[in-house]
Amino acid sequence: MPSSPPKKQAMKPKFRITFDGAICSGCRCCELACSLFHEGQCNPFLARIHVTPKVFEGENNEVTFCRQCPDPACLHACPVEGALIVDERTGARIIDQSVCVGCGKCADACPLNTGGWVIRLHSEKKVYIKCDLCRERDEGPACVEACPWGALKYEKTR
Amino acid sequence: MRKRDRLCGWVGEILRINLDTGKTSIARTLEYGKRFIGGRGINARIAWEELSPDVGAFDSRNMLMFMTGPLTGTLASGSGRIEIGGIAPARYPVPRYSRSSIGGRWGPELKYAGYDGIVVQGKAEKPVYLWINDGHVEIRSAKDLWGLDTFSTIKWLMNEHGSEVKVLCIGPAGERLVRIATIQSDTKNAAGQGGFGAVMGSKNLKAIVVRGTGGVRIASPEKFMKACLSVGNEMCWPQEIPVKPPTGPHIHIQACTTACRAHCVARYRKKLPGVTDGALNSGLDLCNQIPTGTMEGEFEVKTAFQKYGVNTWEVAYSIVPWLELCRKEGLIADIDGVPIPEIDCPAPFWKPTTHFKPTEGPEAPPLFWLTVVRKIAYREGIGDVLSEGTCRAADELFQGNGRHFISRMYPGAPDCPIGYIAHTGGRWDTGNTCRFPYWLVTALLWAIDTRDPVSDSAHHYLSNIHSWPKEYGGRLSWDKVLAISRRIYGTEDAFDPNVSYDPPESKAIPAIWHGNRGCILSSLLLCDWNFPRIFSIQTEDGYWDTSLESKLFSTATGIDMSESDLDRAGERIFNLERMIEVRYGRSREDDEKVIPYFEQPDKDGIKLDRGGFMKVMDEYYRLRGWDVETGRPTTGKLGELGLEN
Repeated sequence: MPSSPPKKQAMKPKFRITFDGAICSGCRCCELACSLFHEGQCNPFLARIHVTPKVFEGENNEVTFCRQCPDPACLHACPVEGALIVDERTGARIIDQSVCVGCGKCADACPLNTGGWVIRLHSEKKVYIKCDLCRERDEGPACVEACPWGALKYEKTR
Repeated sequence: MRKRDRLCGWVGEILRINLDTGKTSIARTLEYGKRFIGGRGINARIAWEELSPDVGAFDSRNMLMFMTGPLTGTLASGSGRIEIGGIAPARYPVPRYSRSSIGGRWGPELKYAGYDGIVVQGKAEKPVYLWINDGHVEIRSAKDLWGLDTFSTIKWLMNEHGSEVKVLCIGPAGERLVRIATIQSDTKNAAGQGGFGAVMGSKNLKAIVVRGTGGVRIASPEKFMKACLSVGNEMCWPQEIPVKPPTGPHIHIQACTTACRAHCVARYRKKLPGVTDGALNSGLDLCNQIPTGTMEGEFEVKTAFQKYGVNTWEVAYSIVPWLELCRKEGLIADIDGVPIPEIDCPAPFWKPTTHFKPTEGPEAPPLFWLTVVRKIAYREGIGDVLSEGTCRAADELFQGNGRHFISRMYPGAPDCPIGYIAHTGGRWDTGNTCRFPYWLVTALLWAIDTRDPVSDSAHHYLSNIHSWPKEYGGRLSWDKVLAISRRIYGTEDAFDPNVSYDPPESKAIPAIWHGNRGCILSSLLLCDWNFPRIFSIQTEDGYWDTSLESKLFSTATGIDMSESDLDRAGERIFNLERMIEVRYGRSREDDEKVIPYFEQPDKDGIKLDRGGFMKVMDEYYRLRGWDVETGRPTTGKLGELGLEN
């Protein structure tokens, strides 16, 4: 077992995604756009965002995704140098798939990951995946662009 | 590498299950997909090849087909639907092949589980349900589920197989072979038309439960995403999605199908105090309104329809108005003791929202509605006869004295084998306005179809033309509207409000165009409110892009198809469905049976002119390449479409 690495000081996130449950229609465009951009397929299981409609509870839909914590537990938990890093431009906490060894410590550490949808194992690549704010996409996060009602927004952090 | 790994759009396999033997097998989707696309097209092809005309609705040889399309489960707007096909028990007087469609989340999940569709044949000895988990298929006992309503069934199955499963199921009505039983999903989605819930019941099949973790591969992800998002935030009428959508303690906008980005006016109630099982999303506020006098009452009644699995449309727009007409003639006063409330407007001009005033006690409209739906679902008392649908009930009840209303309410009844209660089409005005001469197009579609054609073939003509011209409250001048008409149909007459029977092709051309396009939409599979995109608020000339469907198809599957190629596939599917009808004996003589219905005055007092319409029909058959005398597709046309066999 490697000894736990020293606690890293993470750069503050510059941007983040916000969500308003009152106007989410549960259409799942976010899941489909996310997986389409990142995986070239429409596959909610590989999306970095997840919609849970509350049809039997009659409540607002629940949407789970990375909030880019200022003090990210995932990043602190990652034992591999360079696997979980911070993107310079957006401040997104991102997983470098070429470095990740698939140990899952980040997923276990994430306080929002109780349903397993924020950080999850890519079933084919055997590495972990999470929201990277579509840092390579000029138009910004695909989920936000695809959200028809504007329930998801891309904002500068204050 | 498995075949499905290489395919884009389709996932590759259709699951076939024989409940007589418990055996399953696989068919390759592409055996059908290139020519018949998916959904409605593939169902029709399988029916043509395998469902002989002597098969009855509750015959174990009847097939129940649940088919997705190459766009199901993708980001394409409104693509979460599936098509259901089989011998439809609700068709009157004789059950024949027909179709129904359902939204929600089940279709996408089926593809994620690795199947483009399921074809169920045979009949299980005891109640069963299917459990499909990422390519693993199991037929399991439904003894603990039989008798439960649909909500309880879904919750039971979520408890058993995990909260992420998606369920199609029937309620007590389907179990009792109620001819107007639906197949339900979640708390708000139903395959309402045709009575396919009863077919499921006849097969002892309570539910199909699916979980999938795979995906739908897309050939050109970037181009596909661009095509999907090109519809922007424009709704399906001249309006942008409001910045602040309607919300409130009990109102919520909920997409009725996965990936919808053109939300119509579907609004759902949530957690309504004083309502049994009130903590639910249910209650589409579109055409489908039930006059109970109060929001709570309507919610309660709609929830009951969903839970019992009964076709709301047939009850609200046919059985109850018919009972009211019969009450006025003194044939009936109450439903086993619950008085039939008075309606101040005769069917078929029935405007639900304005009818019943809130009252309390045994006369309260919600109590009446709940009594009717429960008695139908459980076949109690008079409900046993009403559960056969209005046409058949009218044959049975009151010594046939209520039969003369039927032809006023059902286009073609009692002779033409359609048996579906009217929708919009000039006669009826809840969700849609419909003016002459535009309802000539609907009348033609009714004449040819096997069911109510509005929900996949006529919405996109009627809704567009009634919401875009300035004169009707829209944004476009007649000049622009007519220019678009010329561009799409090759003639201004198609959208011209002043051209009706002459020249006769004026309204036949759009009937053909939308008939074919309807086949494409329900095969790809896309919502008929979302597509085709004819008009737009985003362009100067008001035209959008009717080739968007072909762009979505081509970029998703990697198979290049132009708009005209795809429309040709739609024409092939339309002709194939016609051949299924012809095989049953359908002819022009049957088609003409819808005329008396349209000879009733519309809201403006305009009646169909039989002589003029016969010439329009002549032209329709001629343009279709069908024999004008018999209404049968000619050998030449079938050869041209590759439908020789």
